[in-house]
Amino acid sequence: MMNILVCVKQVQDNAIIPKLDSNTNRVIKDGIETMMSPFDQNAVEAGIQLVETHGGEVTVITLGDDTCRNVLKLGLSMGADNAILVSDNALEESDNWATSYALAKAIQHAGPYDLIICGKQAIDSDSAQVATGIAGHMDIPVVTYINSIIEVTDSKIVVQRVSATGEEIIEATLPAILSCEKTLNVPRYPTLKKTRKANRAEIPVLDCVTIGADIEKVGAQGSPSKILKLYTPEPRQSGEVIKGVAAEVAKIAVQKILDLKVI
Amino acid sequence: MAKNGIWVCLEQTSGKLASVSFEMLGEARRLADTLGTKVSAVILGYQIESLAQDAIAYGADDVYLCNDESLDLFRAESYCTVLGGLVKEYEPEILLMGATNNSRTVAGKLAAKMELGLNSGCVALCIDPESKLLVQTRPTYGGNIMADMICPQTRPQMCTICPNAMEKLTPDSTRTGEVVVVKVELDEGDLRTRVLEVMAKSADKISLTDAQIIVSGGRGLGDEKGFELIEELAALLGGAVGASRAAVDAGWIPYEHQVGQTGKTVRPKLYIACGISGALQHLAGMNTADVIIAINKDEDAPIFGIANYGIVGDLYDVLPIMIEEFKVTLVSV
Repeated sequence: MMNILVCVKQVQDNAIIPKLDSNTNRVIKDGIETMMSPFDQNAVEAGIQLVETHGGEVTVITLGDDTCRNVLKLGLSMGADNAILVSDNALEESDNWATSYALAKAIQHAGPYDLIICGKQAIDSDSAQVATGIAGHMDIPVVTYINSIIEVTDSKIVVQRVSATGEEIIEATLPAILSCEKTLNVPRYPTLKKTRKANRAEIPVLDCVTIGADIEKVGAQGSPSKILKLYTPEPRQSGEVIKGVAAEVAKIAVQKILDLKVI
Repeated sequence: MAKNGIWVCLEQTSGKLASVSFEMLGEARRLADTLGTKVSAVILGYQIESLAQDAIAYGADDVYLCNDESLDLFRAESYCTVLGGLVKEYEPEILLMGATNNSRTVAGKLAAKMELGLNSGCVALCIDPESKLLVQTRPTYGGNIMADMICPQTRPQMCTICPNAMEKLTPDSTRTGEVVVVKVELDEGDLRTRVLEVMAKSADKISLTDAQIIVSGGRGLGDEKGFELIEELAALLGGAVGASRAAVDAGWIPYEHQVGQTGKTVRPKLYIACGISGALQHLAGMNTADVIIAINKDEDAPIFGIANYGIVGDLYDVLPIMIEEFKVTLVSV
């Protein structure tokens, strides 16, 4: 029997180009379509598969405002058993340090869990710091960028991870935290039956006082990393269009490449 | 005033430094010269003594060498413990690490444990002239939004640096510097992770994130055989093979080649996109390439909107001729 926690993040739909609010200098989130960050879907799938094999329960957790219930419902409709929303005005604009601190506190409050699973990174911030941050705050082993779960026993897990120079097989004691690559699995679609149930589910909301998080350590004020400014990069301009018969355009292309002197 | 200098934690595997290590040293040198402080390199591993001189040649003033059998194979846990001990002892002002799978893991855990601000995947750094703080620029939302970040209160100011984002120095083998041999005391009994097996990629395979030249294929290839042409051109140019999500999802090529928001973010000098229309999520992974060349039949493909050179044509006609041309010109050079 495994008690598994999966951390998920609600992100802006990745088919939409984010826009900055010129008054607040923050990304406009109101009214924008959202989704569960893609790698988090792999994390939910991994949790469900482990419970299907070993028994136990999967809980999905997220940190955010009330609208983030949607991402938890998605997790439930995929097959998670429970959901937890960590929400408090004091948590607004928390950086990665503060977010992983609050999640670690919530996990310690709601747990214990045998295994915590995250996506390798969220596709909005692209930081890849929450799994490692939780590991640091909770002082538990972390194995990142896993693409295979090989074996799980009562006290240990064996996984395969991807590095820049290859792959490696790692054994970690439980409790541990993992971060998932896309190749770990293919996330299942929500079923209609589970979606209906998810829509009716009571989702507990945990605030800072409940989880014992120090509000001096969270939010914009408590975060050690601060935003100086956000801006939209200069759009890349289109250059020269080369048309004609294949033999000619190919030769021009080759000459352009040789002129770059990168070969 | 930065009293305790800029630290660069170099990344090595099997005694070979990753290219981002040299790029970070070059950037650290420039920052240190602005601040009037020194650059220290930290190297963790086993049988890595010879790397100290490389670090000095590429810009380090001194090197902290953590050479121990327990550090032979990368483990986030042991690397974090050793690096954390050094940071606590020497209190650097700034700590740079690579935005690679391994170093990102160590950085994230270390920052949490030591209550440090950390910004991941930075592509530009500068010193604010007034506050002397490190301004860390990083892409978010797949590069659609840029963020300038600071860590005003915590030291070291910590960030991870994307490969190919910064310039390495021309190595100077006459430079000298002190090498501090760090005593590593790790008790294997205290460690909770073990590396059971390592499957190294073949050494001649260029990693996509480090590659200076990438030839990429997309849906327009029509089938997996199209990648034979892509691979041939990439090999000829000494580059790596990339792919769009469409090509990966079609099963034509493994996921490790995928460039884009749910694949890899790359910053090569040259990116040749063949049969790639230019979906938003693909552009997010490659639109900071120095030069983009697109080959596509469809003149209205969005990729042409960001390409320096847009070749309108059938890649099956154009690529074989390009390959033949390169065979002739590159041999004759």
